[in-house]
Amino acid sequence: MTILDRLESIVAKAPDQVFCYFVKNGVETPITWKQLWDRAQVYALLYEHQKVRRNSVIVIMLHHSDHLYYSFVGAMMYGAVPSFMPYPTPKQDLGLFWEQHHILFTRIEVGGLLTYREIAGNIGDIGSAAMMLLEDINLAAPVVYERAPAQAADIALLQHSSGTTGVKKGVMLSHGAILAQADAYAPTIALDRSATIASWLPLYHDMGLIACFILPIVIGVPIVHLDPFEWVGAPLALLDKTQEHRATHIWLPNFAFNHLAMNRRGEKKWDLSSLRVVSNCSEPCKIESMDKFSRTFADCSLRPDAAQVCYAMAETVFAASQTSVGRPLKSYTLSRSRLAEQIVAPPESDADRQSVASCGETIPSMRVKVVDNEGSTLSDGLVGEICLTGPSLYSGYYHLPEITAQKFRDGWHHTGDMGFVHDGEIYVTGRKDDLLIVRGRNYYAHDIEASMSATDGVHPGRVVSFAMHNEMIGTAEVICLAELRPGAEEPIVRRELRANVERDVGVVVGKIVFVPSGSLIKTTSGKISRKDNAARYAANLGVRH
Amino acid sequence: MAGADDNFARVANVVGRIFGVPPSEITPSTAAADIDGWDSVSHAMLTLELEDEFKIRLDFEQTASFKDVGALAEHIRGKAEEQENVQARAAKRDGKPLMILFGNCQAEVLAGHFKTYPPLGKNFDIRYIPNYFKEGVTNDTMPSPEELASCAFLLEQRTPHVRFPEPERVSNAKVVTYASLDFNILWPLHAQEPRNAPRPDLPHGPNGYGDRIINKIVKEGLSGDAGWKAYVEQSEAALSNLPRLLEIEQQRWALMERDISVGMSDFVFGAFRKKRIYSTYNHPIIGIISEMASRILISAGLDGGATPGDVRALMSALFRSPFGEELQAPVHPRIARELELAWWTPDLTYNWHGHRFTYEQFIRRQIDWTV
Repeated sequence: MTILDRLESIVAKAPDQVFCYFVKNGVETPITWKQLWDRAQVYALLYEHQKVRRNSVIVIMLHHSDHLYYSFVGAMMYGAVPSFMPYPTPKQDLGLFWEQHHILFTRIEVGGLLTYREIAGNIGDIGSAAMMLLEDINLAAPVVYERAPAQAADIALLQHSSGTTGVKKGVMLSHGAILAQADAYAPTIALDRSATIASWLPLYHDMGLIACFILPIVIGVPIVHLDPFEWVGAPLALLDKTQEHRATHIWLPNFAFNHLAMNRRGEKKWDLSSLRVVSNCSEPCKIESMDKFSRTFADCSLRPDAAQVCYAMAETVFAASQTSVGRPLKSYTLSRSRLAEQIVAPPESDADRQSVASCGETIPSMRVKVVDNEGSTLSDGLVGEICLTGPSLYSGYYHLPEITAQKFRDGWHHTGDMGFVHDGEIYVTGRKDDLLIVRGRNYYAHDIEASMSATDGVHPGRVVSFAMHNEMIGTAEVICLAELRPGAEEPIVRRELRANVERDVGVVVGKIVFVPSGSLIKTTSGKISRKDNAARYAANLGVRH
Repeated sequence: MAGADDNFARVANVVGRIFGVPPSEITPSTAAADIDGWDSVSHAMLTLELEDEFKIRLDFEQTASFKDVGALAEHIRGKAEEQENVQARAAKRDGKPLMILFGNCQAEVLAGHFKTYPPLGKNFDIRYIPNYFKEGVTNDTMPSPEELASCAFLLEQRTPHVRFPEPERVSNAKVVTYASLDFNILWPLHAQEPRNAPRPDLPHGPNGYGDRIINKIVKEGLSGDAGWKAYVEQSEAALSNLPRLLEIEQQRWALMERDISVGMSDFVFGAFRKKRIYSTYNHPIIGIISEMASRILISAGLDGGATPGDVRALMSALFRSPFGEELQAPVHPRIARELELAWWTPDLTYNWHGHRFTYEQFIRRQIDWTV
């Protein structure tokens, strides 16, 4: 059984029902299941005409467009492996962007790239891969395409992690793993054929891809899909659409709960009674943000327990655990500064308080354990690395056997997330590696630090970056600490450093602090310690806002 | 009205509050790149707070491209002034400034409905000025130069050849341009019907929507079964390259919409397969005009603070007439099949002055001119 077998049976049963209400520029266009299937066949034929190698990776890099769906499903029909990737932001340097992607495209031996003419000019040579431009696609021609045979164990798609240089990892997900996820996760959140999903999430993000595109097409749930860029400027449009379509499910990163609540103005009300679950996922979940959201929209018939937490990652297809729908959320209040050192302790002062939300129990098919640095399993309540196993596990990282061997050991995925298990529920406290999660997207501290070091006026190597939660905006922000060279003018360096990090890494820096020469804490091996400097920053500055 | 310094101080206060920076540290040359944490989400928040502070509407994308806080403050001052000017103009004309709709019968339908919509009808003196020769319309309809000078809105339908005359006279008006909705791909064989002439009961004649293959067949003296047979053969051949015709039509729309405020091609091309949205090439159903009305109001800033969804709901409630549906030109079966018109069936009938005909009946009547 494959994703396409499931989708085909949905298409056969309800060809003219709506698969997606596609929203762009405020205009909604319904797309039926049959249209999805038919147009995907056009893409499958296109890949054949373009002689894309079978089983190779097809990278799809488009803005919000209905072609995202067709080109992705079409790649599976053709027998290639589709992967969405983010489009460069306006401030990113296109030359650098493609240079970095060249490394990646070469390593994964990309078979085809679908994008726009406007950026393709900068791309240079992509080897033997087929370059396909959206402007050339004509969906009108009716096509019947005999799809390539596939098995449950075959790789259905790649979900690429973040990271700027060669470190982008393609998580290989098989048809079997994805269907196992759908079968185990969907019942825990009452996601069935009577549901409707409202989403503004980009499809290159695992939450957008799996929860709001792949699960819907294997279960038969219609989606209402808004443009992520438009959503940022007009977030409440999501509630307009929820009301209009009686949507039952929404997935949001934590900051979006704040953004929605803070954007409410005036007397306008929505009927949100249809919402079964508003799932908080993909960055550290804060009870405060969810409370703020629930209180702000309490007069809109929003169920008080609609906001729920999900712990998810691409390596487990999506959800590993989920809080119980219909039950109040649980959390612990701990010491912020001690947590920065991965120690669970009571807070030392009001400013030191940090709540950690429960991510619930594992979904029925998955199992969890917490291990120490030596790999020994820790008992309840002790902080260590969270490891997961079950039938919806990934098949490894594409063309990266060493990293796969590090992360995937003895049938367990070592998540890199630090946390503990209490009463069977998972609590995530931080990261083992230098991954920073900002507004639901992942960045690496070493990439940010390399960009900081290359800034004129900064003492090279005397820099550190880490993430710290900001209550007001409901997400972590990137904190950069740097030592200045003698004679450097602080305002100029500050501006350049910020611009460099945005250009090189694509993230906006939350706070830049210049510290006295020689004051950054080093480890015994002489390296600048992220953990210790973060703990000192938290202790000294307390909580911003 | 507040001075520039006061205006800047108010903007700096809001920026300071959002980003946690003392307002005294913000100068006109402070850029987004100088302030910690100024990303697109916090910019959206800033836009909203500025709207609250100045009681104006701002465009998120437009404000995102300012080089520094000084330029942002200037833009806001301009917006606030513009709003005051609109209000001042309204006061000057007994509270009713002029709103002109210039265009073809589609613009006339817009004007007619806008007049019955209280937020517009109560606040504006709404005039329709045709862009084509129309019975009973003379130059007297054109407002006086004084009236034009106080015109607050010119909603101009753009066609390739006709522009609003003397645009410099409406220098105080906000101009919103929108496309002609003509849609050719369902009737690529359209031509003038030479035999059509006005009749006492039908001022536009029995049928002016001709067909170039029919014209040819009639010229050759064919009629009856022979005429029908010839039509079937020749029209099939003439429609052999529909994908190309569709491409040409898409390009025509793209060209037409290149420099106008309100485009409709996404909507029209997104919907025409799903629903019969055109009765003839120049008569869209009322839902299309209602959608265009919503877009025009949003683009003109006449949405009264409602969300786009609300504006659409209001307009679809307002636009309810069966515009154009008394005359439905038949669609060639080959076009229907090849373009996958979901609403089409082989036995579909077409309304013509109160009678319904199948495709074949319609074409035979037209060839034989028994209309």
